Amino acid sequence: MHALLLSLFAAMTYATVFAAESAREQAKSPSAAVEGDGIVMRTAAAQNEDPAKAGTAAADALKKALGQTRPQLVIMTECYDDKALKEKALSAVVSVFGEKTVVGTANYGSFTQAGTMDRDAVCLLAIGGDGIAVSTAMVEKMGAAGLSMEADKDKLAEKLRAAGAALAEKLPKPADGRMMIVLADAHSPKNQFLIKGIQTVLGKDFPIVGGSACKNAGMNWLYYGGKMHTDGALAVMLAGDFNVALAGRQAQSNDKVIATAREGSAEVAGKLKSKPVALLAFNCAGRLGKLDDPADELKAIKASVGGQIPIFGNYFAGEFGPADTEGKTGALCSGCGWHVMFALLGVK
Amino acid sequence: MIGGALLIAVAAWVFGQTPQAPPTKAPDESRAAMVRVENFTVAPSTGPVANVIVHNPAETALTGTLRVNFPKGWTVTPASHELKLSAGQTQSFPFAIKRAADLQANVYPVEVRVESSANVVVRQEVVCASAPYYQPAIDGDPNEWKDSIPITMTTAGRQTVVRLYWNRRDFCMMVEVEEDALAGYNPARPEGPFDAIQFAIAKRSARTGESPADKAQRYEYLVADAGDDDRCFRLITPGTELALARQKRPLEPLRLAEAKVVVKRTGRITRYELAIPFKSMPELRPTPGREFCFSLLVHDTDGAGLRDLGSVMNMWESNRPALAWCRVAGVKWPDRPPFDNKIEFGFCSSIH
Repeated sequence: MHALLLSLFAAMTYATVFAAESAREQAKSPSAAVEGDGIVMRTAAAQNEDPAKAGTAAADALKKALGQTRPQLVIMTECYDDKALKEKALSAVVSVFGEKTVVGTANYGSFTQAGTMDRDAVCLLAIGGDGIAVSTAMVEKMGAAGLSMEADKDKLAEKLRAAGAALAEKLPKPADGRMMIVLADAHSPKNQFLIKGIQTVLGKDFPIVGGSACKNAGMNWLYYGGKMHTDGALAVMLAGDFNVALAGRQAQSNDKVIATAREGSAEVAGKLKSKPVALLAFNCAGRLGKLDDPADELKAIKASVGGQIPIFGNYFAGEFGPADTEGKTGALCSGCGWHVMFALLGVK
Repeated sequence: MIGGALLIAVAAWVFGQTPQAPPTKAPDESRAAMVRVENFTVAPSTGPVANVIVHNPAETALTGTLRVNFPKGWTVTPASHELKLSAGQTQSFPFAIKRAADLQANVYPVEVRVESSANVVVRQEVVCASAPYYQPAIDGDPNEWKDSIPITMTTAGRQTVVRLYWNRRDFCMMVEVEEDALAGYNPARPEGPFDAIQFAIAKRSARTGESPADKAQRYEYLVADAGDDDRCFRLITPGTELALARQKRPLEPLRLAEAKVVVKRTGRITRYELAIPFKSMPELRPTPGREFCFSLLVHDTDGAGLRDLGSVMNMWESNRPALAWCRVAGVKWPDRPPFDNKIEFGFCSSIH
């Protein structure tokens, strides 16, 4: 999937739709919409014990929000408990957007600017418009499944570095490449090896963000080509005439999770010298577990970036992005845990 | 016997002692700081925060530096904390573990140094007290529990191994009790002596009240072998008056029908396996990284007597509240109450 950048200053719209049809819905808000040029990003989310209903509701809401724009890519996350339920959620979304458009992963919960959902939910991000080019790739059979850091560290490092390099090699490297999103079945701390492999191809200064699939037994699925995969990694290359601001923050207590979410999102809002398009937040499930009220982190983020910017936030088993902790590798981004990694996209 | 003045002048090495045995034997010893390294609530390799609790039992302020040596090869930040504790103050000091390795034995030696006018060095063995995600079949088969994080305690030469799992539906547990014989519970003779396990689970902020009029903040259960129809009894729930903990009540009306229980014995090992739906414990909200309180007693009524999981958690000796556990007829209770059941545990993702 690779679209060319056709226009630098074409019409650009933004909206986020939150769909929730079950009695267990957590929040509703009117669609946020920001008009812009050339890039269309939308989010939608739905919560329902029936994954097919949630997937359909979220996909329908997203399609409606996209209007005439055909999405180049839909990133899907879900937090159902069993493979059969996940399969139904994937099928529902693929039935609307097609198997070549949808990529994604299982996670522990998600949020849009309208609310947080930490169980039985589907969350979607659509990327479209002629101001952005999207290409994707996946590597399978990395050889990391079943290996542990304690017993197999060297082997893990070798396998995941090789997989990371192979993944990056599969993607085109446009001159206007701005950011890579990585979703992988390689949880923290294994994720450090994968990103090092990617960086052997892209270099240490290229912006890379993303998250690791849910690592609960039997739930570590990636979605690509309409199918479910494990022991793999997928990448999305975003190119175009837009800016990206990155920030990462680590925390392991309720108050610090909220504070770092506020600080990190404020940092990207301050760094971005252009009009914001959407905020992506690759967050740690451990941080979610420390929150007394899961809604508090989103409130803090919105306090920094406002309520009109589409937010696509997800809780993972490890994060890729600019770590704020000691032991930095000398690279802009790394694979770690307990972080929230913000990527704020903006147009000039 | 080391004199009190000498204790103040030189470092007091408290080797092999846990801080639940505070230095109260001599007047000067009471001036020493009491410390406890809390359990890791997720696997060390995933970078948890290790909290070190320091209590100043003296009548004067405690100032100095707190340093902690974790196992070789670990990296931890900060390297130390400055101590400024007023008389009687207790404070928690966090150390973020940046790099660590998990040990199969789940015992991590830690050395705590309180560098002050009364230097104290305490060595403790810390466990990872965490329930990984898994959906086991409740059938008494231990093979599904290999991806749990076992906690082992030895009482009178006999081992007990406690393993926990969680999933969206259930809180699950496998307890392996080494004992000479298993005395089963007989519903027709409920006052008769029997073996059992007793455990309590609560949200992380829960505390044990001191007055019988205080409200319980825990769910507490008793599990016993009863032939082909093993039992799980719910002894107390949050909001109930703690006076109930002193009453020896008929057990059958307390039976929790929705719990799945299997008790099986192989050789010298009795295995208690059970699953309790979270729906019956609405105060608990399991997600990876979330902490809760837990502890467990083993009633080996015809053998080693009471076994207390708190005994391997570096608890302070003074932390034995009288109303922490419900009294049950048919099991033996020692004169000294068990440790409190509000011990830090955590839910975590699957370990691989």
